[in-house]
Amino acid sequence: MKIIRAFVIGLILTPLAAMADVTLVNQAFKIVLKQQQDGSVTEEWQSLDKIVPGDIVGYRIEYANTGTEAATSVAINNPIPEKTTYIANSATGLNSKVTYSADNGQAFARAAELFVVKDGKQQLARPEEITHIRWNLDAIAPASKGTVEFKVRVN
Amino acid sequence: MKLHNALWVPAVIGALSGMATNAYAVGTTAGTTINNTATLDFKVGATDQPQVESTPTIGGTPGDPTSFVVDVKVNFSVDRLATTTYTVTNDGLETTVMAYKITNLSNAPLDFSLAAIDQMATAGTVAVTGGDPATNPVADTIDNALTAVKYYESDDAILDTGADTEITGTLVTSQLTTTTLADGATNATDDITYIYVTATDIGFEGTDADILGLETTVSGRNALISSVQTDITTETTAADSVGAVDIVHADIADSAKNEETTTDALELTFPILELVKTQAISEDPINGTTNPKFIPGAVVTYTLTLTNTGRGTATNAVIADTLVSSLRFGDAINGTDLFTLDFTDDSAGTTTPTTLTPAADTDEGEVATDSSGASPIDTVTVDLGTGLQMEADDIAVVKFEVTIQ
Repeated sequence: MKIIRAFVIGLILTPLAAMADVTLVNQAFKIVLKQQQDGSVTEEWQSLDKIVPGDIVGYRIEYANTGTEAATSVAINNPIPEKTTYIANSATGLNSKVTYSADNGQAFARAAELFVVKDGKQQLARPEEITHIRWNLDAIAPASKGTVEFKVRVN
Repeated sequence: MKLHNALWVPAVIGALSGMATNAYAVGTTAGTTINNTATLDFKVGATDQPQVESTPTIGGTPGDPTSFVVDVKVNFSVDRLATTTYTVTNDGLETTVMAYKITNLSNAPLDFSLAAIDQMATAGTVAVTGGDPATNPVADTIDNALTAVKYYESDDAILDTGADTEITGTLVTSQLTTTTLADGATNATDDITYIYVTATDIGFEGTDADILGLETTVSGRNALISSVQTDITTETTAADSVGAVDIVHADIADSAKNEETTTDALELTFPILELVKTQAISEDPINGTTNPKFIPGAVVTYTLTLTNTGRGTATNAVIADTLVSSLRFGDAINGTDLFTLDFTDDSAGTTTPTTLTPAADTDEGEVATDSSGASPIDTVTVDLGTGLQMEADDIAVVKFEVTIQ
């Protein structure tokens, strides 16, 4: 039995391990603003507490390359979850270029260049019109990892 | 310059939309599961690789969504309907004594428990919810006066005791259900119900402008979450269960987060009757009508003026004047026996003069004579009955003549 399992796992891992074994872990947090003693307000990413409409949820997506070769031309895509609204300027990621879609992932552009057509007029997309976020990374080196993040408000 | 503008605008819109979102008190229905899955596309060298789907935890199954369930946010408001104080008269009719509306601001259909009204027996003052700060609080001058209190629930701001539902027994409202807006984008549960409290047969005594303080408390009872009635009276204080609906009492500014108290002042209206008696000498047997003197045989005219300076209506007012034995009703000089009633109906703006007869008959006036003693004693009586109601500012003037014995 043990042998069979090892064999099966080996089968799955072998082709990927030889190249780039990339994983993606997507975790949600409740975002809480806390006032510090000096009066400044800092943002804390807490484990998912009670979530009611109006609360802000942060998604932290960790990518990791456990393989031996670099993953290149990387694109991480995340649709904005249903019943939530993207919070402007909240998508971040080191060494990544962030673009957005307002048409269910067909076209992507920077926030300042993302337009929607409303009543025959072209307008900048508003945060609530954003449907997808994309982070483009040049490469994930072998044995390296990183995170990208974004925040939404629960409708 | 254009580029600057373009960069600027998303930040501003973001800030504004954030504010607007806060104003939506309702939002995603409790029990909704929110899923999120990220994907990653990449190449090795020049070759596209299979898409990687995110896992919710390290070592989890790719493609499983990162999920949570929206919890129930219990929030509601209670507002007085009246902008002024209700006034009641002591007329025995069913009268509204308190009315308020409950607005469900929660993200689930809710029903509410109503506390029976408290007539604030120990309070010296009553702070009317939302009352005029210039006059608030007002003195609470009368207690526990209401009987036969009833509770009605109405779907509009008009009480119709025939059509609206009377709430009896355990005072629980109907469930304020979820409404889907026409655009389908947002579920709104800000449904409103109107609660009317009435009292019937108000058999109390008091003074005009007495104030009866009334207080009631509304609390959330059950929420309908995923078709299950869920008790929401207790907040979930333990850690969140990500996959289940927890209870959050959202009115954090309030010490009692699942309770709203509303206080009202009921103003009682009573009549205030004042009776003034004046006299004038009309004639004497020696001087006639020229500078007559109060000598035996002289005729004196009494005027009794009854005024209602209060706001309630008095019925069955009886004016009685028992004369001393040295005065007898009537004019002994010419026998005309003046006996009149002038009734001024202030609201109608009319004054009706009536000539009364001393006989016990259908008119309001009667003069009875008690002959049992050494000298007969006359009693002049005017009974306004139910026909002549003394409404606010009405005046009844009775005049009669007597002769000095």
